[in-house]
Amino acid sequence: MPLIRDEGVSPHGWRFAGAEDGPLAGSHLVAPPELLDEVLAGPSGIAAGLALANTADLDAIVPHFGALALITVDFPSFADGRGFSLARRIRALGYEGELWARGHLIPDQYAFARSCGFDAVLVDETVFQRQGEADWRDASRSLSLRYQAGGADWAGGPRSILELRRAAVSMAAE
Amino acid sequence: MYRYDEFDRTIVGERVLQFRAQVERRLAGRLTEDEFKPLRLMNGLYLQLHAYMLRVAIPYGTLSSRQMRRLADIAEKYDKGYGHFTTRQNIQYNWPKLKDVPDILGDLAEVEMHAIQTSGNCIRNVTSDPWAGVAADEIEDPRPTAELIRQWSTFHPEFSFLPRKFKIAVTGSPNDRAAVKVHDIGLRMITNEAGEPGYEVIVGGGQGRTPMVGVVIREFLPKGDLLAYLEAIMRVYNLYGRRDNKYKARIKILVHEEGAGKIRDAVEAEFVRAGGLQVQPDEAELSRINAYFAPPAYARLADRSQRLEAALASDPLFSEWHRVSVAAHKVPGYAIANVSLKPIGGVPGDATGEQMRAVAELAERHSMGEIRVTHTQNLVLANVRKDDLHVLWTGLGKAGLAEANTGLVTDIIACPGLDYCALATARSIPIAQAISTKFADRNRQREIGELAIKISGCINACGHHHVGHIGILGLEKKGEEFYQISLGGDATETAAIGEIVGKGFAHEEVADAVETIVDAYLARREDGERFIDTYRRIGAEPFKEALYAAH
Repeated sequence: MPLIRDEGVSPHGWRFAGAEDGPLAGSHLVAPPELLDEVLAGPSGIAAGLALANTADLDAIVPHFGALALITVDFPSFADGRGFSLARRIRALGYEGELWARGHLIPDQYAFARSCGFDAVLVDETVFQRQGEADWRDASRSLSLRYQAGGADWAGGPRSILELRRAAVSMAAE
Repeated sequence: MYRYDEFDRTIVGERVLQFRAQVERRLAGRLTEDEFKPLRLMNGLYLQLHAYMLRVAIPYGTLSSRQMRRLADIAEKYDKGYGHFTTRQNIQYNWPKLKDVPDILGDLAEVEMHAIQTSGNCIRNVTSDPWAGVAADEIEDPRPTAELIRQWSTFHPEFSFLPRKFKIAVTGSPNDRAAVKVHDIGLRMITNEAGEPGYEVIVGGGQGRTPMVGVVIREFLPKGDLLAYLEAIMRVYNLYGRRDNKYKARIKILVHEEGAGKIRDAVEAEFVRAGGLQVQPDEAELSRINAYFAPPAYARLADRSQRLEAALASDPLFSEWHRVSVAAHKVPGYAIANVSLKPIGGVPGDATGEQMRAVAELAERHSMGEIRVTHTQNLVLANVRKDDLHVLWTGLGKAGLAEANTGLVTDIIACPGLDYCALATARSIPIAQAISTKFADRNRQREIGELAIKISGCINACGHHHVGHIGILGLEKKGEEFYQISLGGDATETAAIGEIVGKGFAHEEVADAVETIVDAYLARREDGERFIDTYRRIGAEPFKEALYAAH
């Protein structure tokens, strides 16, 4: 599955537990919540990841936020927007590591994912075969503005109209 | 009214280009039909029975004369010369060609209009009181709140792929003309005991196949918490609303299945949990929006108009129109004029390009260049000098827009029904026309008084039949249309869902059945009672008897 970041398709060294054979140990392993304890019990200093369904209950996970380098949130269908809300919750609860949307997303959702707190999209191979890197780049930059406050700014992404209006007012006042 | 700044203009302009690019990706097969559909719907474009339908947003029902002229141009250039004003204060074009749609969106963008989020599983066009800012009974103008919600909800990154559509309505008056209790979220502007302004928050109302009156989950929400609280509601709905069955996916089902108490607790907890997220704009931005809705420069006039009184005394037809069409304005010497889009035997809510232009012209001359669209599919000129009412009425008459029936039995709401709609199970428009024609006599209409008949051509209830004093639902069985009648519905602050009166009626029997109901009411009403009052006093039995005993 290609990983789409602001600058395009990016390599990454993460493995998903269950997705391929191999020991449940070592660095850069993304595990589901039921295997998390096992992964975290490994040697200190390794990068650990957590794969969440979009129905995940966060209460049990919050205490581990500091030990996680990556959380992924599943998108079973692009029409199922639960992952966007889950991401906002994860960020509101204080998680500061990498956060990826994973599964069936379409290029038109990239900027939404970024605004909700995701850093990148790990997209289904079948979607990527139809809509490649250029589609992701163009669609994610089709709107240069957004009405909502908050959310991170990123190169080429939509800028908050609220902040631009505030800047325009303070410029006029000077 | 609100006017775009450079940022509003930019984003709406980019939206047009974005849609062109999406159409291209679809045509090249890179977007599947499944993937394209929600993108197309979020731009108001439906595939109907005979053609595409484009639904254009009229935020909280407010239009300038310039915008109304553009709607007329579009009707003539890309459609068959008319448009259809809807129960959600929008306008629909029933015959555009797909290839023209990007151009139509471009034409709309030039006059600060669009079709954004008029369909799809997102937050839809926010609706409000068509008398906002001018009604004599208003506590506070709801339009700044509606505009704030419009901007916040536009392309919302978190809430564009909800379980189902989501409708928000706002009223600033205790007399609810925005049907806030039958919306996913209804907001009533109120003040608390300390005199501070805020909102009563109502959740889980709706019509469709499972009609519900909403429940209050927050008695008083301080104004500054509005968007953060709305986000908390939306997040709870987005995460926990049902996605297994589209007919059970609206928030009303979540509220019903989980219970209002549990939803309230979940929303309040989310509101606290998300306290760190920055949502509400600062005071400067709120003031910027407010300034667009400052009262216009009213002349200082005497409240009584001699010119009006002379016209009323000498012109009985004008007097008749004035009695039902004109409402009290908060400024002395001014009036609110309701313009009926319900000519006898006509299609409810339809207006030709010529009529749109006539209204635009009359609004410019007599009502500060602004027009409102109502959820009853009529128009309002909200700032008319009493001195001008007779001239206005004359102008409306020339355009075929002076029907004196606002709020009366022939002021019927009807969805497009099987004449246009791919979801419909029966026709609505011919039923409305038959009832309208049956009750054409003006004296009889006046005698009957206030009566809301609402007709839907399928269970989705776009014609609001659940909240009609008399509601009519068109269904189909073995290829035959039949119509269920319900009584006692109410869309106002005393909201109620109507109750089905009994066995359905054939297409050609409906108008007679309505007449039987009306006659039963007239025979039993007491002094000063409206139909709904009599129904509440005597219940459904006498009406059932009148309808079915003879058969």
